Order: sequence, then C-alpha cells, then structure tokens
Amino acid sequence: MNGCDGWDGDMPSSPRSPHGNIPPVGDPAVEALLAGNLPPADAAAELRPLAEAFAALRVAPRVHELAGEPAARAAYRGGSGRVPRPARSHRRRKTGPGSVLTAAKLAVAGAVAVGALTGAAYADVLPAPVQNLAHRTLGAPAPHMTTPTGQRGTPGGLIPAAVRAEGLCHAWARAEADGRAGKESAAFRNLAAAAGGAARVTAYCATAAHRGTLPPGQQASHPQVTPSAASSPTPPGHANGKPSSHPTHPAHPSHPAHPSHPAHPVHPSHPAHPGA
Amino acid sequence: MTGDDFPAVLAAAQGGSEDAFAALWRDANPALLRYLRVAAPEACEDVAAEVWVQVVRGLAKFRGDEREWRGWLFTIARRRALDERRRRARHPVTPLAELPGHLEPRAPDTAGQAIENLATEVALAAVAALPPHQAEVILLRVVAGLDTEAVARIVGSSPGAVRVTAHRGLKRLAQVLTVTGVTP
Repeated sequence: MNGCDGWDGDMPSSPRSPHGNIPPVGDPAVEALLAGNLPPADAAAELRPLAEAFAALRVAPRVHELAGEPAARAAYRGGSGRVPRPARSHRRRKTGPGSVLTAAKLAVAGAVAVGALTGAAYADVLPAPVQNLAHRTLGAPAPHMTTPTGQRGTPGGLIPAAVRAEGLCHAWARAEADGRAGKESAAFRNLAAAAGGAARVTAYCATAAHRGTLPPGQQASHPQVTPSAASSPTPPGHANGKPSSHPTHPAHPSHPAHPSHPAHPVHPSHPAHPGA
Repeated sequence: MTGDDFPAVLAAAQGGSEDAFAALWRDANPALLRYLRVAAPEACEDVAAEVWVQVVRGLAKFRGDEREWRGWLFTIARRRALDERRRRARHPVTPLAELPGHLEPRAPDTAGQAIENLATEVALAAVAALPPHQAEVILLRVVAGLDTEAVARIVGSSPGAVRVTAHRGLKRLAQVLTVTGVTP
C-alpha cells in the first residue's frame, strides 16, 4: 500500500477560535512538546491538541512503513546498488502525453482517498480520541461518549454494509473517471440512496473505505507516544555528525531507476554476518 | 530508537551485517516516510528509496552518534525532497499511473493500527497545512526527533530562527487544531 497519498495542504480553512495561549519561545513546555516529551495527559489545556497531534505523528511503525525492508536489504547487499522501492502491483511511471483518463481517475481516486479521512470523521465512526482530533482538525462532529452500534463489530452489522458501500463507491468513482457519471447516473443514484442523500455521499464513501479495514470484534487502541520512530531528544549540544566525506552525490543522479528485477529476494537472507 | 545499542549496530552495519543495517532501516524508515509525506508528497516512497541508496553508499564513511546519524539521514532526505520538487516543477505533467493507496489492497494492519493510522493522517494533514518552512521545522523536530541545533544545520538557519519558526508553527497548528466547545 502506498505510504504517501499526497497531502497537499488542502485542509479546510478553519473557523477556529482565537487562542494564542501558546507559551513563549523557549518555554519548557514548548520544548517538551516539540521534543515529544509531553504526553497529552500531562499537557496544559492549551497545549493538549498539539500534544495529541504530535503523539499521533510518533506512533509506532506501521506495516506499510516497514514493507520495504526486503528491498532495503537487497540494496544493502548490492552495495552501491539501487534500492528498489517496495513491490507494488500497479506501479509504473507514465511518461509521454499523459492519459487524460488516467489523470481523471487519479483525480477522482485522490478525492475519494482524501475524503476518506474527512468522511469517516464527519460520520463520527471513529474512536473518541481520533474523532476528537478530527473534530478539531476537520471540523467533524465531536466524539460521542457512547460508541455507535456496529463499531464494536457486531456480527452481520457493520462489515457487510461496508463491503457493499465500498463497491458502490468504487463503481461511482469508476463511472466518474470514465466520464459517464453524473448526479443522474445509476451509480450515483444507488450511492446516494445507500448514503441517505446526495450530500452525504462523500462522507459515506470515506466511511466505507475505512470501515472496510476494521475487522469485526476489534476495538481501537489509543495512539500512544511511541518513541520508536522518533525518540526522546538527545541533549542539545554541538555536533558535526556528517560522514567524513559527504556522500551526497549519488552515482545515479536523481532518478533511482525503477529496477526491473523483483524487489523481494526469494532467498531470505545470507546469514553470513549475524547482526550486531 | 536503537538507543544504547546504536554504536554496535552501526558498526556491525558498516562491517557488513545486513541484519544490523535492517535494524537501522526499521528504526528510521517510518519517520523518514512521515517526513517525506509532507516534504515530497507525490513520491515519498521513491524519495525514501533514494535516501537509502545514498545512505548505503556513504555508510562506511559515516562517523557519529545516533543523533548525528538521524541528522545525516534527514539532511539527505531534505535534499532529495527538494530535488524531487524541482523535478516536478520542471515536468509538471507526469501523472503516475496508479491509484492512491486507499484504493489498493491494504496491508494487513490490525484494527488498532488502522485507527492509529487515521490519527496520524489527521495530524500529518494538519502539519501539511502550515507554511512549508514551519511544517518542515515541526516535522524535523517532532517526527525526526532532532533537536533545535540539528534542525538548524539541516535547514541552513540559526537555532534562534528555528525556535521562532517552530513557535510560529505551533501557534498556527494550534489554531488549526483548536475549536470551540471541544468535547473531551
């Protein structure tokens, strides 16, 4: 799966309340916040939203963020070689006159993907901590203290509907990409009916996309400040941690050349040098 | 973070241990990808791969502690992200024939991970909405785990200027994140 879906800063501009209560530059709380040493629970009220957001930025590595390990190992074995990017099913770079259809599909799919988060938040199906963050960030509804039915994965409730919804949403996205979608199209009518109204389609599709990823019977865990991706700060000090010669000039200029050989070695590893 | 083990792990990686290199990679790649999702949003995985190519090439000559190691990684990442942005500015019409990740088969994240993922998405989106320099400083501090001095070296600024930029970023981010009547 893709780790970079291109947030481009296109966030809803927020009619947020004026505040300005951030402590001044150099304040220990500010420094702790930036250093990841301010758990949301310990943060003063005015800093808590920031602490929550930063905790979310530092959660433990996720599956897709580690998916490229075989490729990285292969690159290491190859020494100066190319690091193949993680194997992906549809990965190819399109050059030449870009396909209008492709661009349209991309635009639609991108809109759905970006809308996914917003929609899930607006549909208020997220666990409270996440909903809270989305509430602040996206203007989504505040979290309810009671969990919506179905979120606990009631058998037969949530998932089949989500699967169905995803199908409708994909059908619509395809139709739109192909230029045959309109508000009158069958795909859209079906979708609007399922969503409970044309205005709710985006949120519905987004919710469906995310619901589909949640196995039944599992509950959300709270994002935690996990120092695995970004650890506690090292004490400030003087350092010049550069390689003795700057290895910043790659042999292969800027295009890493998508390799033609598969990224995943069939033979797991050479145990020649057992780790550290 | 590999912490106390770092010198030994680094030395092993420099000495040819693939497993040690993989440990370094696992430690840093998630943060690298999160940074690049804002710094090079359309090609973060490609850029990350380029960063690691360069790391492999320079690994034997690297000298420094863990903090310096991360500083080095993110120095490379920043340059690569800049290269990528310039390249895309020169060749703006180069669509990638692929669907965004949400429409591809998903990796088997657990439910908990999916939720964390979503929270991270929200947070990254909020940071990406900042002016680029503020977003970069915030990410280098928070995601990369670098201190003010290290960030200053990377962005070619003074520590004082970095502090001010970070503070402005925090204020702006707080505006984005704050809404009246939030229910806890």
